[in-house]
Amino acid sequence: MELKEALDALNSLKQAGVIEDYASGGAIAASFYIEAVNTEDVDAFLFMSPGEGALLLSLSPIYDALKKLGGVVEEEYVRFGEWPVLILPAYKPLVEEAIKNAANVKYGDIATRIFTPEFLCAIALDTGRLKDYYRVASFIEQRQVDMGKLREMVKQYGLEDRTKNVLNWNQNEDR
Amino acid sequence: MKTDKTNQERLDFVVKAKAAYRRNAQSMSWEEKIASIERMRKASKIAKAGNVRKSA
Repeated sequence: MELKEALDALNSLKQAGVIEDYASGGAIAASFYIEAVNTEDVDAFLFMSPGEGALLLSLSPIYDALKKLGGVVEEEYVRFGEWPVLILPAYKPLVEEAIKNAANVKYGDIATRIFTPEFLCAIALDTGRLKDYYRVASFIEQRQVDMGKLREMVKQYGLEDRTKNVLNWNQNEDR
Repeated sequence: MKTDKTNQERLDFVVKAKAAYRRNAQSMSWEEKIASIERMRKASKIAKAGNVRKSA
């Protein structure tokens, strides 16, 4: 299982203090809760450990550490086996909160962290591509998201306008 | 292939098959779902490369 290598490497980065924490998002994390859909990569969102005196955060220490762990850098990805991993520093409060509140799960015998359904949906609404709205609709259809919590987050992060693009958003109003 | 089935019967069959697929997909473990994504990725790569078996 090549995904294990990638998750192992991310855990090693955290243990070595190269990053503070990470959590997977995107289709890989969504597949924990809902039906699997095809994806090209693993989205790894992370808090970086800033170097002393560094004003700008650089991704170089992360890429270097991942290379030492067997990763192959290809454009913006680090590939482990067949899995390209996209390193995404937490770039806004919504993503920061998503990492802080990520769920601890296991992939085989590897402990890892993934976004909760509500954060996956809120980030999908924020990203706003057609496939992101479809993902939110899938969570709703498969009853895998707490709509009360999601509605609160939509309000908190100003995503109300985006919900009109989710065809079944008002389905199950009582949920 | 000609069958005696009406369109409604065909539609019912597709709806049932999809529901069965969905139940099966939802009962998969995460590891099984990732393995299924890996198969989709492989198939997609083959399709992109144009190595698609054509039906007769």
